[in-house]
Amino acid sequence: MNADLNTLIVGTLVDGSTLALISVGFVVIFRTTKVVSFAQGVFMVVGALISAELVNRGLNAYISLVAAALAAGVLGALLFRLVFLRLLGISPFATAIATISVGILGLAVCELIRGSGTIVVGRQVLSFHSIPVAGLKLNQVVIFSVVLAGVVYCIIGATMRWTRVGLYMRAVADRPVLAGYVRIPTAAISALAWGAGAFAAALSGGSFVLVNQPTPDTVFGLGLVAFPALLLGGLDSVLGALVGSLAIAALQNATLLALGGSWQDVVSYGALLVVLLVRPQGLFGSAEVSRL
Amino acid sequence: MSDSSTSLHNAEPVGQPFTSVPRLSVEGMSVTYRGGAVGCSEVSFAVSPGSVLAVLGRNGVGKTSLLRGIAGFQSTEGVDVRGAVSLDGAPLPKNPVSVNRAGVAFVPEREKIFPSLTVAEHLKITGVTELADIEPLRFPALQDRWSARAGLLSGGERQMLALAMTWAQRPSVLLVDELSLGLAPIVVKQLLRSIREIVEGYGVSAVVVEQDAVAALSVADQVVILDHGEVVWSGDRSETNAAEVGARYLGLGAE
Amino acid sequence: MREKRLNAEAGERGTRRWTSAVPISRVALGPALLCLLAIGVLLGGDRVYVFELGLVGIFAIAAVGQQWILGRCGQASIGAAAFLGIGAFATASLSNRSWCVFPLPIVLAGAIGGASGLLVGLTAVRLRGLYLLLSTLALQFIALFIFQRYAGSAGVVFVNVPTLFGQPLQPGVLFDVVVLLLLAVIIGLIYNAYRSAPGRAWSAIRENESAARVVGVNVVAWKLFAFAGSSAVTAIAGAMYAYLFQSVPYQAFSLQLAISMLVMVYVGGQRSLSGAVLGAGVVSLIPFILDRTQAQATNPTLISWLSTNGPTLNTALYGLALTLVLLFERGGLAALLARGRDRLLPSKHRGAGNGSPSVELDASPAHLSEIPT
Repeated sequence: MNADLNTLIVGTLVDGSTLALISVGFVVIFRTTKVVSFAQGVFMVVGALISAELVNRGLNAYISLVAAALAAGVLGALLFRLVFLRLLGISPFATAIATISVGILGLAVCELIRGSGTIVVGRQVLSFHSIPVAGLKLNQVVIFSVVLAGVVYCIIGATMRWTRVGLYMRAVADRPVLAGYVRIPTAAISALAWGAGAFAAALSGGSFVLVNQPTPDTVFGLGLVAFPALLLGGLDSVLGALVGSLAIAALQNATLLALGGSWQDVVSYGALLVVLLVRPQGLFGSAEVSRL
Repeated sequence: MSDSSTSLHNAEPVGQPFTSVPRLSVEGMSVTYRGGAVGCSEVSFAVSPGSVLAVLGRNGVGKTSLLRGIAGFQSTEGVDVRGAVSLDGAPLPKNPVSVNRAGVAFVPEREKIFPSLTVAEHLKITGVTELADIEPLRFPALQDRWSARAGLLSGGERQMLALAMTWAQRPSVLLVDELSLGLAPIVVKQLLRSIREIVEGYGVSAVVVEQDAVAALSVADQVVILDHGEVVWSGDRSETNAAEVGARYLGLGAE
Repeated sequence: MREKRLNAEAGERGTRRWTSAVPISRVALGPALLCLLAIGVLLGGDRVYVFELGLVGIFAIAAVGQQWILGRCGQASIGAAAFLGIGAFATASLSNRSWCVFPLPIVLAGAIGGASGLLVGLTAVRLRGLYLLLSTLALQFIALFIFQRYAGSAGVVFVNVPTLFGQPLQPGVLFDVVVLLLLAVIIGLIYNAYRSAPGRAWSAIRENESAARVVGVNVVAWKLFAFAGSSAVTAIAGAMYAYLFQSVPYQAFSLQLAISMLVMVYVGGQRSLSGAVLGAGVVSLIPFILDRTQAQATNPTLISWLSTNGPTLNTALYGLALTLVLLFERGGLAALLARGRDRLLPSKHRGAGNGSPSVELDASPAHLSEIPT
């Protein structure tokens, strides 16, 4: 297999998995509470910082990831309860601006506590050693990323379809007022949705720093790159989140190869513009989303 | 305009012994929207257990405002709601969830089902695993559509589902808003008859807001007619000269 | 004919809505404070303060432009940084051309900014609310990329300093006077527009676009006008920015700057030009205070902490201020001050339209929306 093509595929799978986790978290939050959240970046940073800290202290990497994600989940639920619950009912735009303000506040607080330098995980948890699979040259990083994203998607899908909590979430997503009326604890369910969304984003951030050494700012910025993926897939579609993420990851990696890294953002956001002008609800978004 | 208090409080509900404290008592309910628009004004009535009260009137006279005011919805939307509502003598709270918990269930006109949930899931939310649990609302149509998404149901089926969901909560008072809208008369009849079965079989009180006066009159024990937000006629169904009342207040043609 | 109808309706409801003629006592609050500050600083002559005043003036111009599109017209645009950059780069480039005599660069920068704004406005005709926000977010990144490319390997474009009345136009008293005069003229023009038919049209568009269309407002035309105008104003601010710093680095026009502009408009008070000026002042004041504290502090740990964490603390304060405004006082500082003044002053000034802005805030959810979807 052509080395470039291999790099492209591997890069797409890794970046796609990262984006897919951020995006599925966004979709859960958006569907349940109708909030377009620009704050996923904060949960990524929290996940990255806590996970790195735990791993550096010797804790098992997978446990660290989950622990960090749980912490972020609690933060997400708290943020909903304290801030976004109070804003329900005002314009979607104002709420979106609130997610921006909370996002930059959260990022700044993290950096005040810990500094804005690069996040470094001291030991190598995943290797880049080549593992041939079906003609492709994969490695632990790719496999881990894909498996992680896959597991999270399966858990979310299964929870939404087969558990009572998932049923309640879907009810709240459909008709929040009616849900409250049939005695579904709407506020708690919404907080749980935010917790889940934050959890997924934190997993993404935490796994990202196992392989890279970004600054918190960079990690936060990743949360924004999810938007081209989300718009392409459809803001309220879990499947769309996955497909959109893979597509944008492919686009970014191809751009990297063809034009160089400095073009990646432009191309991704250019794609976002095209989607907005041509088909705002994306590939799999529901009709309601087009009337945002 | 007849005096509502004399005729209603002395009325004997059909098939049930007279109880001194009515189940649901509404006194002086007035709903005023921001900007001054009046929903309803000084409406009073009482409903006993095991009886149906129909609130009739032309489109836009304030029937829905009244019902939503009782159910507690208006208060949360910045609308001015006055009046005393009591359930079994105790005052009813002013927010929808508390009202619901007190046993007063409201079936709204719109947005009464979850479009992406299946029929089975609707009932699961309200604690029902099979249709037999919600006798007498064990509609065969719902059984047929057990796994279908509510968004794909017909209007009549949705109304059945909404009623089933509401009845699954075993309320003591049922408030039904504009059941008949968009439904074929035969379906409306069936639904109203089911409500009647609940009312008679379980001693539930029902307040049914209806545009379709003829259908409503067929199952009502008491009638309140609104015009421009005010009560213009109220009384026992037996006092109702349907044709005359219909012609005078409801715009029904002389037949 | 249509204007008369709108007029009559506004007059009828006018006493209850802030969209009607805003009394002088309301408008002057922000600019008045700025005037007082300006007099103090210019008379004092301290170079640092004079420079800062110039910066505040520049951002006040930009904030006023953004209030026009965000607050008055209700369009969800996060494109402020891009238009600032367009103005700055256009000025830098034009200033180096001999035919482009001062003040031509500023005028042309405004025109280019306005034309760009017009293009963005065209997308706003199709997209609304959050989709418009996302599209302007995309434009922010695209603009930054273009700026980076334009600034080349140096990453910066240098400005040819012009002379005005025999003096070079660089940071100083003359500069500040020019900026403040510009600000005054711009505020005057926009305020006038607010008080007449255009202002009512923009308010109508903000409240409910479909309803506005029904009443006969030419939504498309007025929207485009607002986009073009507000971008032109913001670009003019960018032009003065170029003259103030005499060099234009592309990194300055980042998403962070765009968010700072949002903070200015919302924390200051999105409902009035006065609020925008207030916001520009407050948002500029925070880093200034942090800087001065660091420069004048004696405690070495404080100094070193501030030097590493100053910018972060700055951002934290912006985020906190904006969050608090959105949660508790959506009319921003202007509303807070107005309420304070209403409590202190007797009811002489208390026409219903001059009353507590919270009339709108506590209203039904539809009225809580600053940007209709």
